[in-house]
This record gives sequence, C-alpha cells and structure tokens, in this order.
Amino acid sequence: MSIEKGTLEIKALSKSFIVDGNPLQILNNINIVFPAGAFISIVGSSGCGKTTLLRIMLGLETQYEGDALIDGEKIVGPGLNRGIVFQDHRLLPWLTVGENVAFGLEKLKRKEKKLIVDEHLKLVGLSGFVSAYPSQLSGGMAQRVAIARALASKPEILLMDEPLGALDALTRMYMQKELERIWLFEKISMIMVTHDVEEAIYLSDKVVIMSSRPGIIKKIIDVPLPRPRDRASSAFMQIKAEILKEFHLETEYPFAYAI
Amino acid sequence: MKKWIRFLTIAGLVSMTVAAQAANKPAVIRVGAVGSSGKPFAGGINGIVQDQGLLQQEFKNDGIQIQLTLYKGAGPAVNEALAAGKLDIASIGDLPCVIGRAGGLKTRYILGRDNGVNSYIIAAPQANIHSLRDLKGKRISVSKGTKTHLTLNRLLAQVGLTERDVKLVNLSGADASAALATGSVDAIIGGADRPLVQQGLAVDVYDTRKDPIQNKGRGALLVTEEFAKKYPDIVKRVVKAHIRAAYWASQEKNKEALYAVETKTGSSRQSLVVDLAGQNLKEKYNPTLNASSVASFKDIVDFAFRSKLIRQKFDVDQWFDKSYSEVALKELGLENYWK
Amino acid sequence: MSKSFIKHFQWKDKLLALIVPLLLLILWQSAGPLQLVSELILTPPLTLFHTLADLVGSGELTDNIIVSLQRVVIGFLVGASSGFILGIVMGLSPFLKRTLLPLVKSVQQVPEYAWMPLLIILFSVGELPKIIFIAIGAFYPMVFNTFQGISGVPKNYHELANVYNYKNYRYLTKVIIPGALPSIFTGIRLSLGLSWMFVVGAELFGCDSGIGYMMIWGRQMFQIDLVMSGLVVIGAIGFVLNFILEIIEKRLFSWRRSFEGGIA
Ligand SMILES: Nc1ncnc2c1ncn2[C@@H]1O[C@H](COP(=O)(O)OP(=O)(O)OP(=O)(O)O)[C@@H](O)[C@H]1O
Ligand SMILES: [Mg+2]
Repeated sequence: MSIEKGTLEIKALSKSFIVDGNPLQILNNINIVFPAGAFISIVGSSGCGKTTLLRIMLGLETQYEGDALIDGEKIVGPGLNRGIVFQDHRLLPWLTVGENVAFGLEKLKRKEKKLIVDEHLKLVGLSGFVSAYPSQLSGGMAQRVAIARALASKPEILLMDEPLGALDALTRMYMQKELERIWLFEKISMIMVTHDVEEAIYLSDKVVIMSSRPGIIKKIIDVPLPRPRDRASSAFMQIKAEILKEFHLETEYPFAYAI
Repeated sequence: MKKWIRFLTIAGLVSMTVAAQAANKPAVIRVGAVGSSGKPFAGGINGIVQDQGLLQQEFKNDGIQIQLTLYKGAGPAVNEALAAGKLDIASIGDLPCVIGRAGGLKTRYILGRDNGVNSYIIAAPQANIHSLRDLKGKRISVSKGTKTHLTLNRLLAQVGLTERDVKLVNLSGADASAALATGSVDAIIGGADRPLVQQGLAVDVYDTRKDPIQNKGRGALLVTEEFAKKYPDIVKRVVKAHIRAAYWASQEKNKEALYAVETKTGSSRQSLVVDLAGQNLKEKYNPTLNASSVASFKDIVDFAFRSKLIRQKFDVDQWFDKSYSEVALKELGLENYWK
Repeated sequence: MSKSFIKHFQWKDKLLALIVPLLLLILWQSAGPLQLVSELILTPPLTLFHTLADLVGSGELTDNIIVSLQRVVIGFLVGASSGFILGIVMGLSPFLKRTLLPLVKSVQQVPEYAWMPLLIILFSVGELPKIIFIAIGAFYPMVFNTFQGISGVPKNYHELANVYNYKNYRYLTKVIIPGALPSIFTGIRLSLGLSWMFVVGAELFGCDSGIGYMMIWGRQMFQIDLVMSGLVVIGAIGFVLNFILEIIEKRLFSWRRSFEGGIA
C-alpha cells in the first residue's frame, strides 16, 4: 500500500515535559491522520499542547511515546518537506525581508532565488519591502513574511502556528482568502493552529478540537461546505455553534469567537 | 597710663618673639629618600641617620617631628614628590637630582652623601665577555637615564667605544637579571648586589672599585629653596645630623656595624664586603662640597645635556650651597677631618 | 528619548560641549599661577602645545606613534582573533566550554603587570613579548564577548536553522555569527581599547621606542610634559580608533536602527 505524499499520521502519541524535576503530561494518547492535500485546523484553549503537537510533527521534539509518521516514515527531525510558520514570526533581524524569504533557498542560484522571493512576497502583498529589515515591519507584516518564507521552499505540508494571529480583522480576512487560494493552487497539506473558530471553519476540511491538562483530542468536526464559504450561511453558523458547544462544557467564561 | 603702655609693649614683644619662634620652627620636617629595595630602610648615610635616629635626636627638644618617606620609584618619584611640594629635604642620586634641577625644581644642593657608588658589569658565561673591549656588538642591559648609564658611557670610552657600538636594552633590577639569565641580554651593568654571579649564572667582567671617583655614583642631599629660606637654622641642623653619620661611616672601626646597617636595605653582606674591600671609607663618605664634587656634577650636567636627558644646562656653582655644611662642620669640630 | 526632545536640546548641548572643555582649559592653564598644582607636575596646556609641536617637528612623535600603532595592530589582530576563535569554539561546544572556560578565567586572574617580566623570561626582550602582552590584553574582552554573544543567540534562531537544515559553515556564518555580532563588536571595541592601553605597559620593559616608552622616559627624566603629551596622543588616537569602529558598527548594524530608537 502506498501513502500519498503529504500525509501525516499520529499514533497513540503521549508527551510529557520535565517541570521542576517531575514529569508533566502535556499530550495524552493522540491519534489522528492528516490526509495529503487536506486543510486541517486545530483549536483548543491556551496551553493545551497545540504548539507542542506541531513541533513534534515538525521534528523539533523527538522525545515522546507513540508514533509520528510522515508519508509512512517515522519523523526523526526537521525536513524541507515540512514548512513552518512559527507562533512568533522568527525572522532573522539582520537579514532583509528578501533574504529572510530566501532563507530556505540557499542551494538555488541567485536568479531563481530572486524569482521565488518576488513571487512569494507578491503572494503575501509585500512586494515593495524586499530590502526592508524586520525591525521596520509591523507585527502583521512580519507574520506575512514568515508565511512567504515557509512557502518559498515548497513543502508538502505547511504547519502554521496561529499564522494570522497578529493581523487586523480586515487583513486577516484577506489573508484567509489568500491562504485558501494558495492552498488550492499549491495542492499541499496545511495544518493550522488557530484561536479563531470562524477562521478554522472558513478554511478547513476538518477542525480538530483539543482540550487541556493533559491535551487530548476531544472531537474532530468535518466541514463539508463548498468553497468559497459564506460565513453568514446557516450551515456555517451551525458548525460554529457545534464547535463552541464543546468549549461551553469546560470553560466558565466562553469567548465569543476566539478561543 | 604708663603702666598700660609698658604692658602693651611687653605683650607686643612677647607675641612677636612667639610669632618669630613659630616662624623659625616647622612642626614637621618632611624627608624623602630612595627605598627601591622595598625594605623600609634607606641606604648609605641615610640608613645611618635613620638607624641611629640622628634627626630625631637633633630635634627632640624642639618638638619637631621627622617624617621620613621612602620612594620605591627611586629618583623620579622623589623628584615628583619635590615638585608636588611634599618634601623639604630629599636624598637622591646624582643624575636624578640634576634632572630635577634642570626640569625646574627649586632645590639647593647642601651636602654630599656617598661618593663611591660602584657599578658592576656582569655577563652571561656563554657570552664570551671578559673585558670591556669584548662588549662591542653585545646586548647590554642598562637602566637608561641613571648614573649607571653615564658610567657605562665612560667605561666604553676608556676602550674607544661608544653607545652606538653596543646594543643597549633598557631594563632594570629583577627584569635585567631575568633577561640575562634567559639569554635575552649578554651583559648587565648594575649595582654591587649580583645574585646571578653567586648562583653561577653570570660572571664578573668589570667593576669601578679601583676606578677614579668620576666613574662612581654619588648621592646628594637637597633642600627646597622655600624651606631653606624659611628655616635656615633647621637646615643647618639637618646637615649636621648627616655629617655625624658621615663621620661615623668614615671610620674603619665602624665597618662591621656599617655592614649591619646596609644589610637592612636588603643588600647581601657578601656583596657589601666585596664592594667595600680596599675602599677608602673616608673618601667614599666625604660629605663636603669640594672641587671634586663640583667638577663631577658639572660633568654629569654636560653628559645629561649631550645625551638629551635634560633640555637645558644650569650653573652647578649657583646650585651648590656650602653655607650650612661649613657652619655645621665647624660646630662639630670636623672642618679639617675630610681635607 | 524622543527625537524632538533631542533636537530641542541640541544647540544647548553643543554650547555646553564647547564651554565645559574651554573652562577646563582655562582652569588648567591657571592652575600653576594660582598655586593649585605645580606646573612641573601638571604641564599647562600652552606649554603642552609647544612640546607637542616640538615633538611633531622633530619627527619623534610620529616615529613613536607608528611604532606603537604597529605593535597595537599586530597584538590586537593576534589577540582578538584567537579570542574570537576560542569564544566561538566555547560557545558552540558545551564540552569545550566546560574544559576551557575555567582555565581562561583562572589565567585571567594573573594581574596584567605580572605578565611582562614573565614574557621577557619566556621570549627574551624584543618585539615578541610586547606583541604577546598586547595580544593578552586584546584576548580577554574578545573571548568573553564572543562566547557570550554566541551563547546568547536565541534558541529560536537555532531551531529555525535546524528546520532549514543549516549545518556547519553555513550555520556558523549565516546564523550564529550574525546573531552574536553585536556582542562580538563590543568585544572588538574593548579589545582594541585595551590593546592601545597595554602598549604602554608593553613599552615599560626593555624598550626604547613608542608612545609608552616616551611617557616612561618623560617620567624618568622629569619631563612631565612628555608624559602629558603621551596621554594626549593616546587619548586622541583612542578616540579616533573608537570613532572609526563606531562608523563601521553603524553600517554593520543598520538593522538595529529601530531597536534603539524604538521603545526605549
Ligand atoms: N520545553 C518545555 N518544557 C516544559 N514545559 C513546556 C515546554 N514547552 C511547552 N511546555 C508546556 O506545555 C504546555 C503546552 O504548551 P504549548 O506551547 O504546546 O501550548 P499551546 O497549546 O500552543 O498554547 P498557546 O495557545 O498559548 O500557544 C504548556 O503548559 C507549557 O507550559
Ligand atoms: Mg502555541
């Protein structure tokens, strides 16, 4: 049986950190498949282990029980088949925007590099900022550069940790549309952590709901809506209510949209 | 009324004499000397004055304190202290005091101390130096701008050499010894203390013990012009205390005791015995300001000027002030002792 | 501090920057006549100016400066580059850090003035011990600042390099050194400053050239104006060197611009 490129699989995964000398369980028995080409969002309250799960899939955390597989192989470390947009933008301050976007393209020739950089900066709407330094950008602009950098090295799977968290509402909606467009165009798998339930529904094929202490997968909700999606449609609202219900059960003060 | 006038007159006279006395008597005499060995003891005549408490004795009844400061930085440090107005009386080597005077220090030369400070040239055994002539082309360590430097010039001249025929390396004390021991220099010109020779790490090449007095170093006793103007009588008595010490040191019978004093500066007895062997103590410790000392200092001034150690010459005759020593010698009945 | 605030006070600052040194100069010149300090100890500025002019005229000063600068440059290059390499090595390898850092720190306890006699014993008199002495001065700020800079590169950046498969040389030159560069540059500045100070110490022993020697000679010969001239020259050259480094630094760290002006 062959596995399509871009498939991530987590099997019976548990993870604990040593805190003050004692093991503290963060993730407990996680089982999930991220099929190739799918857009999947993970929502869950702060501290439930979303970033930790992404880091495991990226290959930065290797100490855990259970299995994390990419295309059927055990993940042993980071690889260029996975791109990442970190929760902090993590641009290198001494490199220009263009150089940052080209960070994963070291092996290419200058001309090719420039082409890809230009293309991706255009994609995130920052064409004029090639030679600006990160310190001259707003938080949202920096986050967009980070997305461009992640996409530039053409990964099979793009992992994103709250990639649009720092954007204003309008830019955010625009970027959601752009992300969808990029996803449809590049045909890669995307896994996104977000606190914005509407964003998750708007973009995802499936929404994974996690709950905390220790982090488990509480529910996986399918979003079988046709694209582009209408946020005001009753089907949309219904799914949103379904997701929010999951949080009502455990949070005393439910947030309206953001979790 | 008459009574009042008498009273006022007497009161006035009394207060005037009190004032005069106060003016003629400092609370403290600040004496500076070289103590480069780091031991709390000056060498030569100063050592004897210090050891026998001659200044304290002299001024005990006047309630004048003696404040002795020994300068590890040797001549240059004493000059700086003089310039800063920290000293009234200073004991210092011949070249440094010439340098100080030429540099504008307002001092008077009031007494000689030691006319026979010898220089010793030692060499590394493998350097193949047996005579002054062999120094040609060799690396010689010397403390530049000291009397030893002048002596080296004289010694080289004796065999028709100049400074340019050798390679001078400016080092002093322990650093010079270290340089010789490790072969960084071939020879050293320095003082009587030669631990390297005793350890067999160096050999004696030449010394000035048998040389004429011009080849030897001298010590000087200076007073600041300001102090001399204010307290001429005190200066005379300071000079007197030093002449007492010179008289004591000039006598053969005190030689053993002299070694004992000198070893307190950290010198080895052995090197002292060698240094003083066959020396005329009376000549060495002659404190008087005579034709020989004037000539010697004129010579130093010339050398220092030629070697660019000083920027201008000065009149040695003007600088010497015999008045104090003449009176003091007479008072001690020693006016003919050193003649 | 906001920009307008700075602008508002600029002309006053400039005036102060002129008046204060001027007053000091006047005080300095009159210290002798006012009997505050003997002119023999504190050379008046006018005399100092004459001495400097004479020294320049005779070529003595230029010769000495060149000799000292040569020593400083070589000593600095040797000391700073070895400090740089050791700092990188210790910053990258925890094992070497554990073995070398205590050693470096304990050797640092040797007081500076104790080195020169030892170096003369080891390397004889001549240029070598002087260069090594200056190199020792240059070494410490460089090794510590480089080490600190490298250990201070945030874990985040290491992860990023890891994600993009940066290894060895590329990792070092593209991530680690640029990340440590501000600290490395602090090291360079301190290092150059110390080299320039250590040259005076180096020229104390077995030497007859250089600015340091000129000062020592001046002291020995009770020509304090020579000592002061030396101080002025050392100060001026130190100032120029620092100024050049600052310009380079500004160019190099243009990316830090808004860090400085930003929130502070
Ligand atoms: N290296 C670590 N050592 C110890 N504890 C850690 C470590 N990394 C994360 N944790 C803990 O694991 C838990 C989950 O962290 P994680 O960053 O995955 O949460 P998150 O779901 O991404 O939260 P947020 O939404 O706030 O980003 C937290 O309690 C955190 O304190
Ligand atoms: Mg997180």
